[in-house]
Amino acid sequence: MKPLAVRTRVLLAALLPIALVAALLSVVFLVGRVGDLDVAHQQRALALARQIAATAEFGLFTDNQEALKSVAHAGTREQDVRAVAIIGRDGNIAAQAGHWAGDEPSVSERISQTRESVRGNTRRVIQPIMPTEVPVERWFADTFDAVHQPPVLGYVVLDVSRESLIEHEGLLVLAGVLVTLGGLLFGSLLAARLSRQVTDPIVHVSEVVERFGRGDLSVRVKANVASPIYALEEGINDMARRIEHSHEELERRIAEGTAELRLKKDDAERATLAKSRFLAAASHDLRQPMHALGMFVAHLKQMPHDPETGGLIANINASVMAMQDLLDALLDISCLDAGVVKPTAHAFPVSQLWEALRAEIAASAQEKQLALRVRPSELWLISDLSLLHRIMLNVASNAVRYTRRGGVLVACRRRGKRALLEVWDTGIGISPEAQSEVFKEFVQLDNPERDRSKGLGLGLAIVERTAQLLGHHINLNSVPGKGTRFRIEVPIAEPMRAVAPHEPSPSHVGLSGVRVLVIDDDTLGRRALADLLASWGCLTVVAATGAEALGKATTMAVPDVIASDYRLPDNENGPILVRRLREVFGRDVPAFLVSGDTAPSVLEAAREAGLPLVHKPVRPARLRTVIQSLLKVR
Amino acid sequence: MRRIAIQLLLLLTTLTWRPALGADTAAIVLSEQGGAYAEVADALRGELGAGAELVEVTPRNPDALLRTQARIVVAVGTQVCRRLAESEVAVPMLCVLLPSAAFEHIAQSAPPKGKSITALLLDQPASRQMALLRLALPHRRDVAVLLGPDSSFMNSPLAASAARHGLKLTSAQIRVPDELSATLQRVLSDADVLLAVPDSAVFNSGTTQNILRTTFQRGVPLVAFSPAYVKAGALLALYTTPAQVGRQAGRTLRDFFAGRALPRTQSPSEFEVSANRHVARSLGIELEDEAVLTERLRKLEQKP
Repeated sequence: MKPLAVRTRVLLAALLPIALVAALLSVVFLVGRVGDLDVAHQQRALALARQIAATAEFGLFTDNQEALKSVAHAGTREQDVRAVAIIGRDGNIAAQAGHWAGDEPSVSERISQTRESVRGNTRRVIQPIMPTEVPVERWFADTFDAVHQPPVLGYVVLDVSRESLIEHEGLLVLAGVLVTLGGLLFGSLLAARLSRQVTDPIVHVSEVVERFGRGDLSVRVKANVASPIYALEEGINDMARRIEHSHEELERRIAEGTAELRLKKDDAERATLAKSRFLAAASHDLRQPMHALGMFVAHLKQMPHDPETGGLIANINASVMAMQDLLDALLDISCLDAGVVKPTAHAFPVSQLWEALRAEIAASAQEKQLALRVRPSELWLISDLSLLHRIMLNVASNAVRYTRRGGVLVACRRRGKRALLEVWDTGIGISPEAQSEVFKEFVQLDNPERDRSKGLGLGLAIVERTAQLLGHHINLNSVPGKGTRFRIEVPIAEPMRAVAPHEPSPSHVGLSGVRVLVIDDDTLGRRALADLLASWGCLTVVAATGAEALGKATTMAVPDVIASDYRLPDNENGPILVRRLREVFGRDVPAFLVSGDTAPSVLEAAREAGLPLVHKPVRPARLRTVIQSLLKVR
Repeated sequence: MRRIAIQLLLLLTTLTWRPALGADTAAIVLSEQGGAYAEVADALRGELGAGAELVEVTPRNPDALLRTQARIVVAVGTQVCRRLAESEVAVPMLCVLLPSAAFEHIAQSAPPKGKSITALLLDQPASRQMALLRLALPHRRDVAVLLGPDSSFMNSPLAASAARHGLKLTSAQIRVPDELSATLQRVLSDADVLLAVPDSAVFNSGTTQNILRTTFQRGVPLVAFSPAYVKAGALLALYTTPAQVGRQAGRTLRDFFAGRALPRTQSPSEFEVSANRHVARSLGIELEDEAVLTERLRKLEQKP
């Protein structure tokens, strides 16, 4: 309700009854008074007529014209009397005086009752003149027809003006209207004054409530004990105090809760950081002995021994391989989580990817007697080849791993501006409810006993994170017992040049006679790497420090490959040493870095220097591929 | 109501009443109970005594007339007299308490059908009136009298009586009411006393006031026929009271039962004189006391 409306309504409520009562009283009073005046006027006219009739009786009886004239004149001297006529029984005017308002009076019929009529401003009374009755003994007057009608002697006709009456009535109406208006005015002033005492506090209260509603919680009603709504004002103030108090309480609790949450979040972040650090440190520290162990086992395998020992060595080798896979996967996950892997997109033909993939899974497929089919494609893609390769390798390895019979199909199809890279298998399949689970870490279907040979359960988690990093959409479609189709969408690129002539795969390049300079401060690791390389027929020169390497470089023949640990004593590191050795050798000798450190800075430095980085523990196959590719480029 | 009752009563009477001879029974028929009529009946009964039976018939017991075997019916008042006269009642009738003008009117307009109708009139004999005038107003000799159509027959007896008492009578007759004022003025111009006669065509409750005012203006006293006129302003009144009428009627019945024939009309034998001293003083008239006047008038009549 608007403040104006409150005031208007209160005023209306107060004034309307006053106005109605005043008007009604005035009307009743006026009607009554006007009626009274008229009745009084009529009574006076009738009385006057009766009086004149009585006076004129004897004059009429004696036919005394003079007497009748004086009676008529005397009548006209009365106030408001216009004219008087005395008419005989025969209808002739015996005497008259005054001025008739309209026609002259006449009595055409015998009248025994007084007649009274009003025409315009004049009231006319016709009064029969009857003889005065004197009681006499009835037996003398007891005539034959019993009913004795005293004869009418004549009539008095009297015209009385109503002008003064009408004037009086006008004054009365005027007085009534003035009194009504005066009463109304007085009532209005009083009502306005009284209503303000009610409306002002209401308006004030509504303003306060409005300000309160806008959020000014400190505002209060100025409560006045004399106010008619004092209880309401006090109530509103009390309510406002409570609301303000509870509001403050609420804010305080929210602040406390927020602080608590922040504390817990910090704790959680700290815990995550600690975990990451632990993981990094653990993987680095595990890598060194694993690296050495891998080298030793590879070396051991090269030596001649009896079949029983050969079996043992094969088992040890498998265990070492599994441990290295685990460490690699952990490393990949930690790299992806750390956000240090930055994809670099470039155009490349699908065939390049297919070849690498075929080389890596053909052996295991053949081992399980599965039909592996890689459908050739002419398409070019835009992506990070190595990351995409890792995804496809992971998926294809899984396909081979979970397929017992049938085969694995790797294919590429074009859809619009995208290529769909698909891996189909006829494996055990994944139930619909499990399909969203398989991308989580350490989730392995069909491997409740956690057989390490079946993998770690990190593969698809890595696949998903890598695809996210590349911005490629992946999709899994599977029917349990029938097989699975994995699909990744990759943007298509225009072919850039003719497909390079087919090069022999790195595994086909022999390492016999290749000169390798190995620099590693860890004696065990240096020795293992050197032994492994030697078992492949490589000629190795080893150095523990950069200084030693530089020293040997001046005397030795230029090596084919330099393998340097990233972190070296005396604040030296791999990239710097490689640059300095290349200066000594006078040419860009192929080189790669070896490191047990998964810190992002290491990866970054290796990328800047343009050197491949092989993480410890180094797997012989990986090492061999890296060396072969370096030699091939040369 | 009263008229209807009387008519019903008389109708029944005509059908059933068989007069029986021998018993001294009279019926008195009153047009109403109480008042002057009751006075008449009471005085009559008192005068009649135990010698005869009187059956009172009023509008309250109209059938009483059927049960009685009256030999004579006394009709009290002009109306009852006229109704009974017009009826089939065959027994003799005695009408009382009515003026001679009315009785003559009845006698002429409704001739008796083989029955005798007699009356005991209210009119004082002309000689008594003239005697009173001589006694009370010895210096006024010119007497005026106004007569109506029914009282015109009084003219000659009055004139004769006036002459016997040494008075000059001026009489005038009113034929229509409008003539009253002018005729009155005329007769008064030569008179020093106005004698009123009971004729309602001239003297009634409506005319009395104006007649009195006229006479008063002329200084002429009015001698009237009832005490009501004295109250209204007449100087004197010579009259017979209802009780006196009743007593005279009783005596008449006794005579009737005794076998004497009834005279056609009788004048009242008893009378009273009433006077208005204020009017006398206003008119400058020395007047004897009314009792003295009455006494002297009676003594005059008792002289042979």
